Formats: sequence, structure tokens, C-alpha cells
Amino acid sequence: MQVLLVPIAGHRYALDAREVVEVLPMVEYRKAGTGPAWLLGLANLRGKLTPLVDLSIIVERTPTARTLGARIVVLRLENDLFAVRPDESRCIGLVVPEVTRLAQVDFDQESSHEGFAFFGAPHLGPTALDHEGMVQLLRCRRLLEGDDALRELPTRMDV
Amino acid sequence: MAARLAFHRSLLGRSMLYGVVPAVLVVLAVVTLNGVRAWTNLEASLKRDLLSATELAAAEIDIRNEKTVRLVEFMAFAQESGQFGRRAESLAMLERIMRESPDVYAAYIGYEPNADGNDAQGAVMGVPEEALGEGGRFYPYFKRDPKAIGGIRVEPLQEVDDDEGLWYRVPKERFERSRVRDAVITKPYSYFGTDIIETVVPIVMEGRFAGIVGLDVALTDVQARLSQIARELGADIFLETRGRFLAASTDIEGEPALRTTDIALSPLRPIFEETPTQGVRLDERVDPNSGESCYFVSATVPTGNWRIVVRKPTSAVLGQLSGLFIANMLTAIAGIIIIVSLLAALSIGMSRRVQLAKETAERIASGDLASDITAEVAAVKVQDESADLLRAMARMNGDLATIVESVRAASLRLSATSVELAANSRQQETTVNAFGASTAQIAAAIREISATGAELLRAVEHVEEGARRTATSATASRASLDGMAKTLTRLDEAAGDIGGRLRVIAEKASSITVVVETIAKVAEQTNLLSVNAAIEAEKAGEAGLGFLVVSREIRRLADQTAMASLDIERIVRQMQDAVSTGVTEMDRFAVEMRSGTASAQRVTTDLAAIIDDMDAAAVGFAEVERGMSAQGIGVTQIESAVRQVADGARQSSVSVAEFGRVADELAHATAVLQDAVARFHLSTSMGRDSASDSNCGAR
Repeated sequence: MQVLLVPIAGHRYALDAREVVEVLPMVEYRKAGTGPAWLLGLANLRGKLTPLVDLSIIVERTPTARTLGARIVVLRLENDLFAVRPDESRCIGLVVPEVTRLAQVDFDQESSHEGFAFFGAPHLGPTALDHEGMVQLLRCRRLLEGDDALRELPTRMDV
Repeated sequence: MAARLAFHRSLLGRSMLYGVVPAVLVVLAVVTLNGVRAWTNLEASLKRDLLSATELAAAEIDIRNEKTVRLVEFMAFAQESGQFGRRAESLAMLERIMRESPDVYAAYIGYEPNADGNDAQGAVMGVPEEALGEGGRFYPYFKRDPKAIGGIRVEPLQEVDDDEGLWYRVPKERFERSRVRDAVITKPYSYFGTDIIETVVPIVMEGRFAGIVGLDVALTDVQARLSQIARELGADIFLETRGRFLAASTDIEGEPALRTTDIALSPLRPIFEETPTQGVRLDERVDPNSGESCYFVSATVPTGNWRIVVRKPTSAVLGQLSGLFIANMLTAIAGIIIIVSLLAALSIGMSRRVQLAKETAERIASGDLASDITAEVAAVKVQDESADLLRAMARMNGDLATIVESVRAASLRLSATSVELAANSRQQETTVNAFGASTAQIAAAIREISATGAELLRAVEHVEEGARRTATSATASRASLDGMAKTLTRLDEAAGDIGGRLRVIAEKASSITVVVETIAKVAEQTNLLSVNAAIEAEKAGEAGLGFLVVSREIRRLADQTAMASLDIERIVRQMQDAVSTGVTEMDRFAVEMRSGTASAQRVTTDLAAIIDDMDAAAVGFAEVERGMSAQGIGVTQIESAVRQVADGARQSSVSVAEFGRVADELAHATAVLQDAVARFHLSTSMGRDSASDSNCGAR
């Protein structure tokens, strides 16, 4: 499948390219104030206010460094965490330290691992091997589409 | 030193004899007189005290007895005035008397058998069985009993074996025989184990004896009261009635229970037999019991016909007196000791000072002025005539020593001066002779000097020539140094020019860096664009495949651009480093150039100074030349002066011989003066002090 490669804290993660709307450089945003640490706030993306979520905190428990290479990966999700009405379709911005490139990875090979849904981490999808090493698919739908998993994620960095 | 005086002739001995002996005699006389008077007074006053105290005690006991008698008479009066026969009322009265009179041991009423006609009614309301005697007779006896309720108990009266009917039969018989109805105070006896005395009065109804009323007083109460009086008096007291002891404040040895004892059996019998039974009297006699000398005072207690005897040992008086005497003696002895010490201190100090003055005077008389007594005189703090004498002696000693010392020092100096004078005159003679020889030598030396001056003149001319040559060459050097300084200044300007150009290069390199950053940003945007393009192509599916390839190529191009811009950035940074190093080097070079220029200028200045100095030296040399010529003339003048000096020396040798003779005469006179002073001895320190003080010696 075609995925967007996102290295976080030395680990290679992949996002399904079909869910990605576009990749943007880091912009200024309004901070969320109180709330979970991974919820950064609201940003004006192409004239539309979009919530920003720090993916590094969710998968590696460390905030994304504010470097020139930091990117916002815009996803379109159905019935997401921030939806007020059901069936509402809206965008969400995942803040990541870096986006490498688009790549073709097969997660169905014999050497692959099926993921950790069984251990209560449904967003950690299957892991595959390619010539550069391990790459793990992040199931953003499972992560954000009204699943309880995200609600149970730590809301403070020191937890 | 004179022989020591005998003690009785010395100051100390005589002050003792005339001061202490009379004082001791007077004090002893006063003490003895006082002692005798005190003895007499004290003895008399003690006797008076004893007499009055005994009378007082007798009166007090009499009053107590009288009170009891009055109470009994009152009871009898109450019976006779209507209470007789009213048994319950009588009992209530008895009980009330018991409660209100603590001195009373018991109170009772005894009726004749059926005297009131009520014997037959027996015990009724208010009249218990215990108040009745044989056949219902009214016979109550209230007594104190600590075990009874309220401390009082009633029981029937009873006859006792040894009372001899004292309390009932005797008053009855007495009344019937002589119609006397006075109170009877019985002698002491034991009523059922309690020693008592009784006061009884008969009840007389219509001229007939109808019964008795009475009160008992326990002897223990009398005894307690007596002991209290004895303690206050500080003596022993005995109470006697009808040949028996009633009470005593003390027990006599071997007679533990003195009360109610027959006096005839007591060791004190002689006392009581010889003491009169009337009035107050004091006797001094030996106590037959203790063998001690005592005062015995006796007095009568009229009520009850008692007698009181007070005993006090005479040693109580003596004890006080001896204490007084000892205190007097101690005071007297202390006073004598103080007088003796003061006199001794005074006399010893005075005799010591007089002795010191005497010794000093003897020493001076013998011509010894060496010893110094100022320290001893300073130690004397008293201000009396002896101390003044001593101080005058010390002053005289010091003044004499000073005078003698001055004379001696002056003679010594005179002697030394005369010796010195003689030596000087001889030495002068020798000098005058030697002087003649010296003048010849001086003349030879002067000739040598004039030859040396001519040689020096030639040498100076040579040096002047050399100096002139040096000045010429220094002028040449200065010209070449000026040229060098100009060259250096031009070099400095060139270095500054190069530094300015290098700085321009550095500014250009900074501009290149800005451009490179812009290129890197463009490459980044391109990369992002290619990723988004790829995502769009993926969404387009099959149709987007070709576009995907194009986007990948764009991304590669952007990556290469980024790499190239990184290379450029690195090269520009190296170039900047090199330029800045060059600028630094140029700056340092310029500084060195400047310092070189300054050095050259300094050397030029120095050379100019040298040239000036050389010119000045040439002038100096000319002056030296002139001086040398003048010196030659001076030498000739000196030669003629020396010759005149030699003539003068020959004349002075004659007057020196005369001077020597005068000095010899002075020495002789000084020797005579020294002999006169020699008989005085002086302390070494004094000699030194005066030797340094030459003015004083001259006077």
C-alpha cells in the first residue's frame, strides 16, 4: 500500500496515503489552554479552523520539537473525536517532526507483525520490514474516530 | 655604732611603763567594782521576783478555790430556794454545771433518806434509775467519763473505804453539832481510782440538815495548772495541805507519785516542818533531796488552808552573774591588748626612724657619704618630728655628697687638663720642626704638578679632534634614517589599503550566504510540493501514475538543490574564515609597521642630540685648555707662599717652650686640691652622675 513515511524519535511510522489530504509546513496556532497535552490547539489551514494534535506525544510520549522540518499532516476523518454531529466529515492536523516521502510498503508479507490491538493499543497497526528496517503503520481512524482508546491516553506529559 | 640601750630605757620600754601599766590597773579596778555591784543587785532582784511570783501563784490558786466554793454555795442556795424535791430540774442543773465548768471533775447532790418525800416514786420521767440510791433516795453523781455519750455519766453516790465520810458524814455532823453551814474543802483522797478534792455544802431546810451538794476537782487538773506556773517561773512548786502533798510540778527522786503522799515520809520533810504556815517568806538552805543550795519561798492559800512552796537553785543566779563577769573581763583584756599594740607600733616605728637618723649622722661624721638612705626615707609614710628629722638627715647626706663630688670632679678635670697642656706643648714643638721639612717636600711636588699640566693640555687637544669627527658622521646617519622613515610610512599606507579590500570581500561573502538560504528555502518548498503532488496522484489512482513519477523527479531535483546549496554554504563559510584571518594579519602587520616608524624617528632624535652634545663638548675643551694655562701661574704663587710659612714655624717654636712651663705649674696646684677632697667616700653611682655634670663642678 502507498504510505507517507513519518520518522518520530528514531522510529519509522507510516500513515495511509489515502487518508492524507495534504502536508503543510508548521504554522502559528491558538493554544488549547487546559486539556490533554497532545491537543495543541486550533490553526488556520487554508481558511478553515482545524484542530492540531501532536502525534509524537501519542506514539512516543515526547512533544514535537519546533524545527524547520516540522510538518502538519492534514487528515480527513469521518465521525472523529471532535465531531459534534454524527456523520460529520472534517479535517484534523497531525503535527510531526518530519515527513520523509511517499513509499510503497506491503504489510501483508510473511515477515510482518499484525500489531498490538490485542494489548489495548488499537492505533498501533501492523509492522513490516523493508530495506531500511522496521516501519509501523499508524491506524489514524482507530486512533481518532470516536474510539475510547484516545480518551484513555495520558493527558499529562509526566504520566 | 653605740651600744644598745636597755629595754626599760628605750622609747618602747618607757611608753609601755607609763601607758600600759596604769591602764591595766584602772580597767581591773572598774571590772571588780562592777562585778560586786552586779552580784548584789541581781541577787536582791531575783529574791524579789521569787517572792512576788510565789504570792501571785498562791493568789491565783486561791481564786480558783474561791470560785469552786461560790459555785457550790450557789447550788445549795438553789436547792434551799425551791429546787429541793424537784429531782428532774436538779439533775438538769447538775448536767449544765458539768458542761459549763471544765475545771469541775464531778458534781453531785445527796438527800437524806426520803427528805423530800419522793423516795417511793422510784425512777420516773427525767429521773433515771442511776440517779437514785438505796430505797429510791435522790443520790445522783455526775462525773466526766470519756467513754460516755457527751463525755458525762450519771451514777449513784457511794461511800468509799478511805474517805472517812468526808464528803457526807463530816459536813452533816459538823452542821448538827455547831450549826455551821460553810463550804468544806476536803483533803485529797482517791475516789474509785481518781485522786480528788471535794468542796461540799450542806442543804438546810427549815433548820434541819436535808442533804449536801458538792463539786469534785481532780488533782490532775491542779497538777497541770501548777506545772504551767512552774514553767513560767523557772522553778519547782509544791502544794501542801494538812501534812500531805496536794500537787507538785516535779517528782522527787524515788517518789514517782508525790500527790497525796504524806510529807512525813518525804525527804523534803525538814523544809516543810521549818517553813511557817502563815505569810510569805524566803529561806536559803540546802535541798535535802539534791544536796544543792536553793531558795525556798512559801505562801499560804487561805481558801482550803493550802500552802505553796517554790524551790529555785541559787546556781541560777550565779550562772547569770558569772556570764556577766566573763564578758566584762573579755572586754577589758581586748582593750588592754589594743592599747599595748598601738603603743608598741608607734614606739617601734619612731625608734627605728631615730635609730636610722643617728646611724646616718655617725656615718657622715666619719666621712662616709657613699650610702644612700633616700629609699628608706621614702618608705616612711608617717608625718611626725622623727620622720622630719630623718628626711632632713637624708637631704643633708645627699647635699654633702653632691658638693664633695663636684669638688672632686673639678680637681680631676683640672689635673687632666694640665697633663694635656704639657703634652700639647711638646707635640707642638715636634710639629714645628717637622713642618720645615714638609715645606721642602711641597715645593718639589708643585714642580711635578706643573709638568703634568703641560702633558694634560696636549691630550685634551687630541680628544677635541676625535669629537669633531664623530659629529660629522652622526649628521650623515640622520639623513639616511629620515629616508627610511618615509619608506616605512608608505608601507603602512599600503597595508591599510589591503585590509580595506579584504573587508569588502567579507561583506560580499555575507550577501552570498543570504542568497544560499533563499535557495534552501525554495528547495524545501519544492520538496513539500512534490510530496503533496504524490499524495494527490495516489488519490487519482491509475490516472495519476504518470504524475506520481513527475512528482518524484521534482522531489529528487529539490533534494539535489538542497544538497548543492549546503555545499555553497560550506565553501562561502570557509572563504569568510580565510578573509577574516587575512584582515587580522594585515591589522597586525600595520601595527608592527607603525612601531618600526616610531623607532626610526626616535633614533633620528637621539642622533640629533648627540650632534648637539658634540658641539657643546668642543666649546668645553677650549675652556679646559684655558684653565690649564692658569694653573701653571697658580703653582708658582704657591711656591712662594710655602717659603713664607716655613719662616713663621721657626718663630712659633720659641713661644711653645714658654707654654710648657705654665702647664707644669697648673698640674702642681691640682694635686694639692685632690688631697683635700680624698677623705670623703662617695657611692659609685653618685660619682658618675657628677662627672657628667661639668657646670656644677665648675661652680
